[in-house]
Amino acid sequence: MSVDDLDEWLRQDYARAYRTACMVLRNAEDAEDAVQEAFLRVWRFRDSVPDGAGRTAWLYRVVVNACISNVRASASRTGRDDGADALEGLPDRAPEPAVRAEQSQLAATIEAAMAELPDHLRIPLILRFYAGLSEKEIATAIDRRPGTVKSRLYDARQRLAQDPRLAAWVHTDEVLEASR
Amino acid sequence: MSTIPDEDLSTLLDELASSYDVPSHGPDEILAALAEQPKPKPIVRHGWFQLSAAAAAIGAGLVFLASTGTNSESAGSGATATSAHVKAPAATTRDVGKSFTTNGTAAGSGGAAAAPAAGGLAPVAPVPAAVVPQAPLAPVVNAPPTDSGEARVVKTGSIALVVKDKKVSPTLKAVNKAASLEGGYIASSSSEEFGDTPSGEVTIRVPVDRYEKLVDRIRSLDAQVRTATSSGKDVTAQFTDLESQLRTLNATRDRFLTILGQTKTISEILTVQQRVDNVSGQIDRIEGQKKLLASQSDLSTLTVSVSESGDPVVKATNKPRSGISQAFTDARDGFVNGVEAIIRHSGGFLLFLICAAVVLLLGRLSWRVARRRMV
Repeated sequence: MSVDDLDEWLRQDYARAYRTACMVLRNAEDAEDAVQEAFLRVWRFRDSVPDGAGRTAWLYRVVVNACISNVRASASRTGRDDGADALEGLPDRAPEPAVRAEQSQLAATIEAAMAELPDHLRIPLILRFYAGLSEKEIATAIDRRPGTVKSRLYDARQRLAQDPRLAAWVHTDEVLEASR
Repeated sequence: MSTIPDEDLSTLLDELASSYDVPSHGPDEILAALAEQPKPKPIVRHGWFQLSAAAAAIGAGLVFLASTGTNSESAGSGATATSAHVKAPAATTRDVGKSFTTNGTAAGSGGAAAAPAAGGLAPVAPVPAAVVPQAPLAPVVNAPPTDSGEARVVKTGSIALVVKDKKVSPTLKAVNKAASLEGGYIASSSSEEFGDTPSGEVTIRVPVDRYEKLVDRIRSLDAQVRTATSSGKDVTAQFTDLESQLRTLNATRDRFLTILGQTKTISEILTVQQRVDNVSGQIDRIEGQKKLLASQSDLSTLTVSVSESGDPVVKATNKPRSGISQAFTDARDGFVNGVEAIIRHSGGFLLFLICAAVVLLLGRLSWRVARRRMV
């Protein structure tokens, strides 16, 4: 991979990777640091970058790992290290009031609902429905089995469907059947 | 049972994501940070370190063989295994010559094994003309089709030609003619036709399906091919991703337009209209990226450079190595590869030594305790 290739990759995927990191870390500054670190890792391990479709899953794996590293670094700065499950105890870092004011009502609603999901459910959901990764690719990205990903996605969707703030978006089986 | 449909979930997450403004300086900062990174140092390059490591590894190997009490037959098989390990990295090093260069282009196979340039920013070492392959340059890429059913591959390449004195200008003209015959056009060109070392360079954009013919035409010119590189980058996945993003964004915009039709107050209209504008902006941006990718994959890029045989760079490159010099180089490479292989495979042995030491220590402690109790 040359610098030009990385440049092109950055132009293509930076925005999506950055927003994914924002949703994972719930903090724009940390997300920027994490994505920068992720792409630097990509460059460092450029010989291991898979070709074709596998490249996206690989990138998100690096991004998720960079997010975990970021949380670990913050934890060690504050004297708290959560070890391997660093994201499990992610503190609630709601955006600043100014940022929140600029968000649309819908974005604020979904963010509030997502914030209630534990990280092990939230991250697969983001990777599936925002980053567009398949279950197998998510399994690669978070280093878990596809079966685990499937069950986590199911749990996450169930929890969101039970959230009263998202009631307007919930469809029952009958409605889904009718729409088909 | 109730759930949120996939499409709605994507819409909701897209909405949340779009509330985060992407810093436009992000990619540039990463590239700047990349340029500031120190060049990686090779692990084993100092002579004294190589020798010490080799001595330590060989000593450890002998201790291992002695401690396991193997007979001469099994020791022989161990030696065979070691030599097999030694060979492996040598093969890997040779493969480097066939792999993509630091410019992301395929170097000619069988060329001198070029070490990966530190940081990827160093210029590519030219390959002697004698080893430039005559086979078609474009690599085989099995790209999955996009929604429109076609694979997308960005093909780029370069050819460096060496010509006789005062032949740079006619060769450049011939290259231009070859490009126009294959339906291509000159994206950029530069030449220096005076002075001691006249040279020129032409960048041609040509339809992907005519790329091979153009390469053949240029190879058939009255010039010697000094280096030839080619690469095909599969962007089908990116293209498909953009198409998928476009579909999602279009669905989002449709949903907002429906909501817009149901709004009643000015404040609601303005809010929803702002969302529509935001999504439309994203659609325009992604469509632009898609068009760029389509353009890059429709037209391949070939850079042809022409220089005279008297060019000092060409002379230095073409100077053949003597047999003794080559033999010394091969011997040095073989030795370094062997040492690297021994170090690489010594991890398991060290683990065994540590475990053995722990077992011995525990055994000795247990024996002392047991003996005291007996006494």
